[in-house]
Order: sequence, then structure tokens, then C-alpha cells
Amino acid sequence: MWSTLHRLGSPQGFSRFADRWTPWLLLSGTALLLAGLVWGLAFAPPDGRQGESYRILFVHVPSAFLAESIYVMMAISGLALLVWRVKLAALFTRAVAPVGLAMTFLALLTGAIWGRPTWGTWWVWDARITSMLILLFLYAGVLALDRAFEDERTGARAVAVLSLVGVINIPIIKYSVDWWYTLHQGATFTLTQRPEMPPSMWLPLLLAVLGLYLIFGGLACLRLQTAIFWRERRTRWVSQRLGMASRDPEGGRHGV
Amino acid sequence: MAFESFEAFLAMGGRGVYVWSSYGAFAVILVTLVLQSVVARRAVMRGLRQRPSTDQASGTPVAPARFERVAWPGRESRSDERDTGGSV
Repeated sequence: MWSTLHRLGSPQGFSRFADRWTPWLLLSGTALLLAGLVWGLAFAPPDGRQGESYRILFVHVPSAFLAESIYVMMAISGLALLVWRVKLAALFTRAVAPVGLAMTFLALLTGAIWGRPTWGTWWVWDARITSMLILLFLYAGVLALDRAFEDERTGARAVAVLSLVGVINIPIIKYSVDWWYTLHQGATFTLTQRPEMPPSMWLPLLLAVLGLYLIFGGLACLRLQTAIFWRERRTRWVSQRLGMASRDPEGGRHGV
Repeated sequence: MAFESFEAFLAMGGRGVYVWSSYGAFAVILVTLVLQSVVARRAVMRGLRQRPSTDQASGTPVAPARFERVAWPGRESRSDERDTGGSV
């Protein structure tokens, strides 16, 4: 277990892991997501109250879940950088933050589109939606902060602190529908209770969520590996990986 | 099938505009993310393959002037000069 973690924590070890897993994560994720979405769009029964517009759920909920999860991962990554000096952590945050931003935007956008026929309005300043908007600003802040420093290490630490401080917003998003009166419906999935929906609705949703998470895994591997190649460009192993081993005799002295 | 006909499937009970625009936005953004990640990877790989990593005559590392174009999220033009290529 620890040796596996240790290997994954080294740039070269992670790169090998990414080489092996990226295509499978992307392919299996796409297959699951497509299955879930086709099921949800065409085969799941219509909702008793909302009719067909509830089918937006199958893209809205996976995006929102992933948007929150990525921020939690960034906070853990920030902790890993600040406390344990895990050097890959800063690159991880930089690699996944744009994905988190895109997912938050999607959750807000599909939520607004869903709100129009359901609540009669595109937008309300209620707790769930406002805290989700704050998440969007947090992602934007992380990305801006990451580019704002001359010194990359200072920037990485600032980003780690913002990720850690901002993670307080995640339980606020999660419990906002319980703590405050809101238009937004309650949680779709909880660990302790059976979903209120019939299986013909929550199974396709589960497939779509799993599929999107797998795709995120593939994207994270791909993007982090790209960042590693760039950062480690003067090392021998990257040169070898690029098929230009003999050209950089000095390279092996640096890094890894 | 939850729908009687293909037309009914497209119409989504009169809510077709909302349902299909949601799915469309989802698909466009997801595909863009994947494509952008692949294009960034290719650009970085191409840039790294093209660089003259050492000067053939003297054996000293060549200033990576050509790196400027193959930006990995937009910051290496500033940090590159000081970056000794140490570990991540």
C-alpha cells in the first residue's frame, strides 16, 4: 500500500501509471456515461410532477457532484503540499482546477435551464445556488492566483491555502438544502437511506455519475502527466520517454 | 422506451428546448475539455521534441528560446530562466 503510494507520488511512477490507465478510464467512463444518459433520456419513466424536464437531472447532478469532489481533492492536495511537501500536489491542483471550473459552470447552467420550466425562474439567490456560485468564484480564484506569482513555489503555496480555506464552502453547498428554506430539492443520494426515486430513475443517474468520474480520472491523468513532462523536461527519463535519450547527457543529474 | 414516437422523444412533452440545450451544453463542454487536454499534451510533446536540449559543440544547455510558444498553463515564459529543471 505505502510502496504503491510512494511510487505514484514520484513523477516517473505516476507517468507510468497514467500511460497504462488513461485510455481505459476515458473509454470506460464514456461507455458508462453514454449508457446512463441514453437510459435516462429515453427509457426512464417521466416524473410524476415535472414530466419530462426532470431528465436534466442526469447531466445536472453528475456535474454538480464532480464540481464539489474536485474541490475537495484540491483541498487534500493543498494539505499534501503544505504539510507533507508532496511535490506532485501543486501540479495536480493546476491540472484539475479548469475541469472543476467547467463542471461548476455546467451545474449552474443546467440548473438554470432546469429552473425555468420547473420554478418559473432562471435564477434565485437561495443558499444552494449562491454557494455553488461561490464555488465557481473559488475555482476562478485558484486559477488566477496560480498565475499571479513570479515565483512558482510561492504561487503553489498560496493556491494550496486558498483550496484549504475554500473547502468550507463544500459542506455549506451540501447541507444548504437542509439548513435553509430553499427552492432546490433535497439530496438525491445519501449513504444512509434508499433514494426516494425508483431504481429506473436512480440507476441511470448512478451510471452517469460513475461514468463522469471515470472520465475525470482519465482527464486528470492526462493533464497531470502533461504537466509532469513539462516540469521534468530536462530529466533523462522524460527525454527517453520522448525518444531522444542520447541528446541530453546532462539531463540525468536533475530531478526525480 | 418512455416515449410513443421519435417526435415525442424530441419534443420531451413540450420541454424539449430545456432538456436538449442542457444535454447539448454538457456534451460540448465535456468534449471541449477532452480535446483541450489532448491538444495541450500534443503541443507540449512537440515543443519538447523540437528543442535542442544541448549545444552540440560545447555540450552546454541551450537557452530554451523556443519553449515560449508551448506554454503549459501560461507561466513558463517567466519562470523558465530560473527553473533548473529540478524535481516536481
